[in-house]
Amino acid sequence: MRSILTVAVTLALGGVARAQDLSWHDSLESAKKSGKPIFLFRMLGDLKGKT
Amino acid sequence: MRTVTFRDGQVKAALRDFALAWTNIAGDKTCGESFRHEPGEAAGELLRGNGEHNMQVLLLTPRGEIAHILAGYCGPKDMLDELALAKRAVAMTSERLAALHAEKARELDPGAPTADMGWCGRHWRHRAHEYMSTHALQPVADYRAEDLVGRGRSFFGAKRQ
Repeated sequence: MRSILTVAVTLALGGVARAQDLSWHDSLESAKKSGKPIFLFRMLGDLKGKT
Repeated sequence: MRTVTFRDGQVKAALRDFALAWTNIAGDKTCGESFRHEPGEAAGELLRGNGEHNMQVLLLTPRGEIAHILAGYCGPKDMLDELALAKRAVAMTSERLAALHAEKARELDPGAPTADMGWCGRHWRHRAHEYMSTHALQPVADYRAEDLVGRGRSFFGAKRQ
């Protein structure tokens, strides 16, 4: 039983972490201040929440 | 993208060279409709370029000028190639950048789908390079999605059975 629960919890956490384990700026202006090239993802919905 | 491409270890490593930003385009006049998904929901099968009205990636110089652009879904392998191109592109003059994209557009005949890239992927890759050949280093504030993907609106959804 313990192994089944462990797998279920791992899968649930893994799903949420997929987009959030990258570091996203809150705004384009914030990204510009980094001095790096910018990857701007325009998407329908919320990157970290339900889209 | 978020459950496949952004999850890929090599893509995540390549993205460390970029500042990452995102924007919700809901309400944009060219934005279509889609199914709603939970953050961890398993992704359906997608082809390169699917959902071009609902997602685009703009690769910008640190000053906010567009050096490269992607329309629609882009899987991990393709994304690695596009990021490598973008790293070169952000350092180019507008003239050199326009010439690079014009050459890439010529290489991608949109009327000739191949086994590894169907019509959709070939079309949107071609269209993106064609757009960039005339908009090299365009300020991102001047970007209008309809100039890239057209004025139409579409529904796009993928569900895993």
